[in-house]
Amino acid sequence: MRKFARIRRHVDVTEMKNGIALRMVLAGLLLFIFCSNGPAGEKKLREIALKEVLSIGALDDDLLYMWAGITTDEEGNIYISDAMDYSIKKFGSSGQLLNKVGRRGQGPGEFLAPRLLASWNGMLYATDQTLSGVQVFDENLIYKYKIPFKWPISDIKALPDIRIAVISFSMGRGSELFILDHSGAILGGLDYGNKQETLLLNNADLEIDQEGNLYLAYSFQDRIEKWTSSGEKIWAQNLLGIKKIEQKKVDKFMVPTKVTYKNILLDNLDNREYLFILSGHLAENPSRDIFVLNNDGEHLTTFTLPEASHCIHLDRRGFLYSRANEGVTLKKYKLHYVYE
Amino acid sequence: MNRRRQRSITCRLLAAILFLPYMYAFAIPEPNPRDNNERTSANRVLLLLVLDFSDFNCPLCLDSLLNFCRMLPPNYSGVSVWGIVVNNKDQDKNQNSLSIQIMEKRIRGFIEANDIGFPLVLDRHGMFNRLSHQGSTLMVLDFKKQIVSSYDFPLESQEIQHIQQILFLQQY
Repeated sequence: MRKFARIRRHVDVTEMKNGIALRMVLAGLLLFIFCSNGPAGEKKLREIALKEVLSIGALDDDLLYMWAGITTDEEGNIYISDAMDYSIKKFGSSGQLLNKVGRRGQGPGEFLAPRLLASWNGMLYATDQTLSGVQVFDENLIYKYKIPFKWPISDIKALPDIRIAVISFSMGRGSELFILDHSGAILGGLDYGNKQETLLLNNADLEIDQEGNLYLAYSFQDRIEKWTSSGEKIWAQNLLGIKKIEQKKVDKFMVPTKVTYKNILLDNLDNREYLFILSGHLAENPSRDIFVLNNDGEHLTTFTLPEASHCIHLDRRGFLYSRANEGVTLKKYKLHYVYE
Repeated sequence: MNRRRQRSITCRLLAAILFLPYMYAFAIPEPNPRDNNERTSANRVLLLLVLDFSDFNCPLCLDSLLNFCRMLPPNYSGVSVWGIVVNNKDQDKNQNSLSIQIMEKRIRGFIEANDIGFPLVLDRHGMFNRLSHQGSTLMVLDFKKQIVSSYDFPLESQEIQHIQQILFLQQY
């Protein structure tokens, strides 16, 4: 019995020692995780700092007159639509002009008001504010074909297998999300907004993650939402605390007057999964504040652009692009993540 | 310029236009093609285009203006065209040199992209702001440089016809 007790005590001491060692290992591991630059899901983001690495378009050159849309490809080339000279311009990753296409008109490769751009796998998709459909170019800006679509497009995302997702709005129908193939056939979509009479009220900017989940930042409501690809709402968030939407009557329609959110992007490099949401007119720093949320909708931090921008873009290398000099200049920033 | 006054001017202008062909037919000798070249800018009709800078953000507003530019006679024979860009929306910005440079760059882009062949300059000091309080405006000035008519953009088809008649008559 005494022997058993001794053995038992020995086991206890051994277990205790093992437990201490285990706890020390765990503590060390946790310390390592918190102090290292490991996966973002295991550490708390405190702030994001910007460092300018490139500027395209000066006041005295003729590179950009009033850029509207932006996208980038796998090599880091930058495609920009310029509303002032009805063109799409391709710049190298260090800012050299490589190609330019477009002129005023309604034919193939022509524009009246070029706006949004999206790219995927060597295909470039371009919308025009006043012309219907989506023009498709290759990576050398050679016009390929047009995807017919009759309603105005307020956002576009390029998808694999030559598909695009568009947010569209029209009178009496409100805003809807459609998935289109290269012929303009509607493959699917999401009827996300409540049908309301107010024009544009459900308009939103769109982002899609690798699992096909959809993120919506409403242009005129204080709402950010995450939906599954099958149409179930996962969460909804508001960041500005705004309940009343300012509207005014234009002809016979009530239209919202203040933009709440302009842009939503997913930063998913290096196992990060942050949503960047560019504020509109109602933030503390209008059109400059970028709210950062995790994929559960939790607001982590806010950082501020040096100048107001109508949109932001993240390339596949983690560089952020925004507007300067009222659209005459494009700025490219490197992001520095600071964790608690 | 209010609508009633404009209508009155337009009526007088229309009467003058209707009368002019007779005057040209009976009182003026056969037109010599070389006269167009020899006509000095001093005795030409002047079309003064006062362009509101905010129209650069409005493709539909620009549409009418660019259609007008396209209907101008080749080499502007018999007519002088001048363009002034004014910034009514944000008058404080007129004093800001950065904004002036941005606006001037946009104007350069507009001229280049649309093949604008007449001088188009920014009114840096807001001197012409009063002339375009309702958006972009076209003014027709006679040989004495008096305003005989003015039209707000977008131009209506009747107004375009009036201007075309003026331009047509100026060439002969």
